[in-house]
Amino acid sequence: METTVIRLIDNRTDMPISVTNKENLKDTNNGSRDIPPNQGEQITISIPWCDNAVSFARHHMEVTVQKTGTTWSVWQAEFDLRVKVLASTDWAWHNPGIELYRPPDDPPIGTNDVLIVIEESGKLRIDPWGHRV
Amino acid sequence: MPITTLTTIINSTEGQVRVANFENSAESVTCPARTTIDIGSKSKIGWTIPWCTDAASFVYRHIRVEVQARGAIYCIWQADRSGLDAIRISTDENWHDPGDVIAGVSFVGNLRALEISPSGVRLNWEYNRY
Repeated sequence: METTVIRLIDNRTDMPISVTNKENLKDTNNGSRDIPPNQGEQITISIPWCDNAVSFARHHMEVTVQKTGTTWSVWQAEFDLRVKVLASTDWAWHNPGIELYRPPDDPPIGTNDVLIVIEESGKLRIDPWGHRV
Repeated sequence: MPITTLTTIINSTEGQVRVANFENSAESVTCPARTTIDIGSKSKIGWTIPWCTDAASFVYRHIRVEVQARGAIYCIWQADRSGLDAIRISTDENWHDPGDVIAGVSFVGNLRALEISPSGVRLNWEYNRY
Protein backbone atom coordinates (compact mmCIF):
# COMPACT_ATOMS: atom_id res chain seq x y z
CA MET A 1 0.00 0.00 0.00
CA GLU A 2 1.38 3.38 -0.98
CA THR A 3 1.78 5.93 1.76
CA THR A 4 0.58 9.48 1.20
CA VAL A 5 2.13 11.89 3.66
CA ILE A 6 0.69 15.33 4.36
CA ARG A 7 3.54 17.81 4.93
CA LEU A 8 1.60 21.01 5.27
CA ILE A 9 -1.90 22.22 6.01
CA ASP A 10 -2.69 25.64 4.57
CA ASN A 11 -5.66 27.24 6.26
CA ARG A 12 -6.89 29.98 3.90
CA THR A 13 -10.05 30.69 5.84
CA ASP A 14 -10.35 33.60 8.22
CA MET A 15 -11.08 31.33 11.19
CA PRO A 16 -9.09 28.56 12.90
CA ILE A 17 -9.27 24.94 11.86
CA SER A 18 -8.43 21.84 13.91
CA VAL A 19 -6.87 18.59 12.73
CA THR A 20 -7.01 15.17 14.41
CA ASN A 21 -5.43 11.97 13.16
CA LYS A 22 -7.63 9.27 14.64
CA GLU A 23 -5.14 6.61 13.58
CA ASN A 24 -2.21 8.20 15.34
CA LEU A 25 -3.05 10.95 17.79
CA LYS A 26 0.65 11.68 18.31
CA ASP A 27 0.64 13.33 14.89
CA THR A 28 -1.72 16.00 16.20
CA ASN A 29 -0.56 16.88 19.72
CA ASN A 30 -2.09 13.69 21.20
CA GLY A 31 -5.50 15.09 20.34
CA SER A 32 -6.24 17.88 17.96
CA ARG A 33 -3.96 20.53 16.54
CA ASP A 34 -5.29 23.97 15.81
CA ILE A 35 -4.08 26.01 12.85
CA PRO A 36 -4.72 29.76 13.03
CA PRO A 37 -6.62 31.73 10.38
CA ASN A 38 -4.70 32.45 7.16
CA GLN A 39 -1.68 30.39 8.17
CA GLY A 40 -0.01 27.35 6.68
CA GLU A 41 1.79 25.06 9.12
CA GLN A 42 4.08 22.09 8.70
CA ILE A 43 2.72 18.78 9.89
CA THR A 44 3.46 15.11 9.22
CA ILE A 45 0.47 12.79 8.86
CA SER A 46 0.28 9.59 6.86
CA ILE A 47 -3.24 9.62 5.52
CA PRO A 48 -4.94 6.55 7.04
CA TRP A 49 -6.02 3.75 4.75
CA CYS A 50 -9.60 2.64 5.16
CA ASP A 51 -11.53 0.27 2.93
CA ASN A 52 -14.48 -0.60 5.14
CA ALA A 53 -16.96 0.95 7.54
CA VAL A 54 -16.00 -1.31 10.46
CA SER A 55 -12.47 0.04 10.84
CA PHE A 56 -13.39 3.62 9.97
CA ALA A 57 -13.56 4.82 13.58
CA ARG A 58 -9.79 4.39 13.99
CA HIS A 59 -8.66 4.77 10.42
CA HIS A 60 -9.30 8.30 9.28
CA MET A 61 -8.28 11.86 10.07
CA GLU A 62 -10.54 14.81 10.68
CA VAL A 63 -10.32 18.44 9.65
CA THR A 64 -12.82 20.70 11.37
CA VAL A 65 -13.40 23.98 9.56
CA GLN A 66 -14.77 26.46 12.05
CA LYS A 67 -15.88 28.92 9.36
CA THR A 68 -18.40 26.48 7.89
CA GLY A 69 -18.94 24.28 10.95
CA THR A 70 -17.99 21.26 8.83
CA THR A 71 -15.88 18.31 9.92
CA TRP A 72 -14.20 16.54 7.01
CA SER A 73 -13.26 12.91 7.60
CA VAL A 74 -10.36 12.03 5.30
CA TRP A 75 -8.87 8.65 4.34
CA GLN A 76 -7.27 6.99 1.36
CA ALA A 77 -8.42 3.93 -0.50
CA GLU A 78 -8.11 2.24 -3.85
CA PHE A 79 -11.08 2.81 -6.10
CA ASP A 80 -11.33 2.13 -9.84
CA LEU A 81 -7.78 0.73 -9.64
CA ARG A 82 -6.42 4.09 -8.49
CA VAL A 83 -5.38 5.28 -5.06
CA LYS A 84 -7.52 8.23 -4.05
CA VAL A 85 -7.79 10.56 -1.10
CA LEU A 86 -11.44 10.49 -0.11
CA ALA A 87 -13.59 12.37 2.34
CA SER A 88 -17.01 12.64 3.89
CA THR A 89 -18.73 15.30 5.94
CA ASP A 90 -21.11 13.09 7.94
CA TRP A 91 -18.58 11.21 10.12
CA ALA A 92 -19.17 8.06 8.12
CA TRP A 93 -17.20 5.91 5.66
CA HIS A 94 -18.51 5.81 2.13
CA ASN A 95 -17.66 3.86 -0.95
CA PRO A 96 -16.16 5.78 -2.61
CA GLY A 97 -16.74 9.04 -0.68
CA ILE A 98 -15.91 12.50 -2.00
CA GLU A 99 -12.64 12.55 -3.91
CA LEU A 100 -10.67 15.60 -2.83
CA TYR A 101 -9.93 17.89 -5.76
CA ARG A 102 -6.39 17.91 -7.07
CA PRO A 103 -4.99 19.45 -10.25
CA PRO A 104 -5.18 16.93 -13.12
CA ASP A 105 -1.49 17.12 -14.04
CA ASP A 106 -0.30 16.44 -10.48
CA PRO A 107 1.64 13.26 -9.70
CA PRO A 108 -0.55 10.28 -8.77
CA ILE A 109 -1.56 9.88 -5.14
CA GLY A 110 0.87 7.56 -3.38
CA THR A 111 3.92 8.70 -5.34
CA ASN A 112 4.42 12.11 -3.77
CA ASP A 113 3.88 13.89 -0.50
CA VAL A 114 1.05 16.40 -0.45
CA LEU A 115 -0.37 19.41 1.27
CA ILE A 116 -3.97 20.03 2.10
CA VAL A 117 -5.39 23.45 1.33
CA ILE A 118 -8.52 24.62 3.09
CA GLU A 119 -9.84 27.16 0.63
CA GLU A 120 -11.52 30.41 1.68
CA SER A 121 -14.86 28.74 1.09
CA GLY A 122 -13.98 25.96 3.56
CA LYS A 123 -13.55 23.26 0.91
CA LEU A 124 -10.53 20.96 0.98
CA ARG A 125 -8.17 20.28 -1.88
CA ILE A 126 -4.84 18.52 -2.34
CA ASP A 127 -1.71 20.07 -3.82
CA PRO A 128 1.65 18.43 -4.41
CA TRP A 129 4.38 19.01 -1.84
CA GLY A 130 7.31 18.03 -4.03
CA HIS A 131 9.33 15.07 -5.12
CA ARG A 132 10.28 12.50 -2.56
CA VAL A 133 13.96 12.42 -1.75
CA MET B 1 19.72 30.01 7.71
CA PRO B 2 17.10 28.44 5.45
CA ILE B 3 16.64 30.18 2.12
CA THR B 4 13.13 31.04 1.03
CA THR B 5 12.69 31.71 -2.67
CA LEU B 6 9.89 33.48 -4.51
CA THR B 7 9.25 31.89 -7.87
CA THR B 8 5.84 33.27 -8.86
CA ILE B 9 3.84 36.46 -8.48
CA ILE B 10 0.06 36.03 -8.62
CA ASN B 11 -1.82 39.30 -9.04
CA SER B 12 -5.56 38.78 -8.68
CA THR B 13 -6.34 42.46 -8.17
CA GLU B 14 -7.86 44.80 -10.77
CA GLY B 15 -4.75 46.96 -10.97
CA GLN B 16 -1.09 46.45 -11.65
CA VAL B 17 1.35 45.36 -8.98
CA ARG B 18 5.03 46.27 -8.87
CA VAL B 19 7.39 44.01 -6.98
CA ALA B 20 11.05 44.84 -6.40
CA ASN B 21 13.80 43.14 -4.45
CA PHE B 22 15.82 45.94 -2.84
CA GLU B 23 18.64 43.50 -2.17
CA ASN B 24 19.13 42.91 -5.89
CA SER B 25 18.35 45.77 -8.25
CA ALA B 26 18.05 43.37 -11.19
CA GLU B 27 15.02 41.77 -9.60
CA SER B 28 12.02 43.93 -10.35
CA VAL B 29 8.79 43.19 -12.15
CA THR B 30 5.49 44.85 -13.00
CA CYS B 31 2.58 42.45 -12.95
CA PRO B 32 -0.55 43.61 -14.86
CA ALA B 33 -4.02 43.15 -13.40
CA ARG B 34 -5.17 39.54 -13.05
CA THR B 35 -1.88 38.05 -14.19
CA THR B 36 0.53 35.42 -12.93
CA ILE B 37 4.24 35.88 -13.63
CA ASP B 38 6.99 33.30 -13.29
CA ILE B 39 10.02 35.23 -12.01
CA GLY B 40 12.39 32.30 -12.30
CA SER B 41 14.80 31.76 -15.15
CA LYS B 42 16.99 28.97 -16.49
CA SER B 43 19.90 30.14 -14.37
CA LYS B 44 18.00 31.11 -11.22
CA ILE B 45 14.83 29.60 -9.90
CA GLY B 46 13.56 32.84 -8.34
CA TRP B 47 14.26 35.63 -5.87
CA THR B 48 15.67 34.99 -2.42
CA ILE B 49 13.65 36.77 0.26
CA PRO B 50 16.17 39.03 2.03
CA TRP B 51 17.16 38.49 5.63
CA CYS B 52 16.86 41.59 7.77
CA THR B 53 17.43 41.77 11.51
CA ASP B 54 17.85 45.50 12.05
CA ALA B 55 16.31 48.78 11.00
CA ALA B 56 19.58 50.20 9.64
CA SER B 57 19.90 47.65 6.82
CA PHE B 58 16.19 47.49 6.04
CA VAL B 59 16.44 49.99 3.19
CA TYR B 60 18.29 47.44 1.04
CA ARG B 61 17.04 44.21 2.60
CA HIS B 62 13.41 43.71 1.79
CA ILE B 63 11.02 43.07 -1.06
CA ARG B 64 8.65 45.93 -1.80
CA VAL B 65 5.17 45.31 -3.20
CA GLU B 66 3.14 48.23 -4.55
CA VAL B 67 -0.51 47.41 -5.09
CA GLN B 68 -2.13 50.00 -7.35
CA ALA B 69 -5.71 48.88 -6.73
CA ARG B 70 -5.36 49.31 -2.97
CA GLY B 71 -2.90 52.19 -2.99
CA ALA B 72 -0.92 50.05 -0.57
CA ILE B 73 2.75 49.22 -0.08
CA TYR B 74 3.93 46.04 1.62
CA CYS B 75 7.50 45.28 2.68
CA ILE B 76 8.52 41.64 3.07
CA TRP B 77 11.62 40.18 4.72
CA GLN B 78 12.79 37.12 6.60
CA ALA B 79 13.92 37.16 10.24
CA ASP B 80 14.38 34.85 13.19
CA ARG B 81 12.98 36.96 16.02
CA SER B 82 11.36 36.09 19.32
CA GLY B 83 12.02 32.41 18.70
CA LEU B 84 10.19 32.32 15.39
CA ASP B 85 12.00 32.09 12.07
CA ALA B 86 9.44 33.43 9.61
CA ILE B 87 8.65 35.65 6.65
CA ARG B 88 7.46 38.99 7.96
CA ILE B 89 5.54 41.92 6.55
CA SER B 90 4.91 45.59 7.25
CA THR B 91 2.58 48.13 5.68
CA ASP B 92 4.33 51.32 6.81
CA GLU B 93 7.59 50.79 4.86
CA ASN B 94 9.48 50.26 8.13
CA TRP B 95 11.26 47.32 9.74
CA HIS B 96 9.67 46.03 12.91
CA ASP B 97 10.93 43.79 15.67
CA PRO B 98 9.72 41.06 15.59
CA GLY B 99 7.40 42.14 12.74
CA ASP B 100 4.07 40.68 11.77
CA VAL B 101 4.16 37.20 10.28
CA ILE B 102 2.90 37.18 6.70
CA ALA B 103 -0.36 35.39 5.93
CA GLY B 104 -0.13 31.94 4.38
CA VAL B 105 2.92 29.69 4.42
CA SER B 106 5.12 31.92 6.56
CA PHE B 107 7.77 29.48 7.78
CA VAL B 108 11.16 29.69 6.10
CA GLY B 109 12.76 27.51 3.44
CA ASN B 110 11.78 26.14 0.03
CA LEU B 111 9.79 27.88 -2.69
CA ARG B 112 6.84 30.24 -2.48
CA ALA B 113 4.33 32.03 -4.69
CA LEU B 114 3.46 35.57 -3.64
CA GLU B 115 -0.27 36.12 -4.06
CA ILE B 116 -1.69 39.63 -4.11
CA SER B 117 -5.47 39.66 -3.87
CA PRO B 118 -8.05 42.34 -3.12
CA SER B 119 -7.94 41.22 0.52
CA GLY B 120 -4.18 41.46 0.96
CA VAL B 121 -0.89 39.61 0.48
CA ARG B 122 -0.05 36.00 1.29
CA LEU B 123 2.53 33.32 0.53
CA ASN B 124 1.54 30.01 -0.99
CA TRP B 125 3.52 26.81 -1.06
CA GLU B 126 5.16 26.38 -4.46
CA TYR B 127 5.81 22.93 -5.83
CA ASN B 128 9.22 22.57 -7.46
CA ARG B 129 8.35 20.97 -10.78
CA TYR B 130 11.90 20.99 -12.10
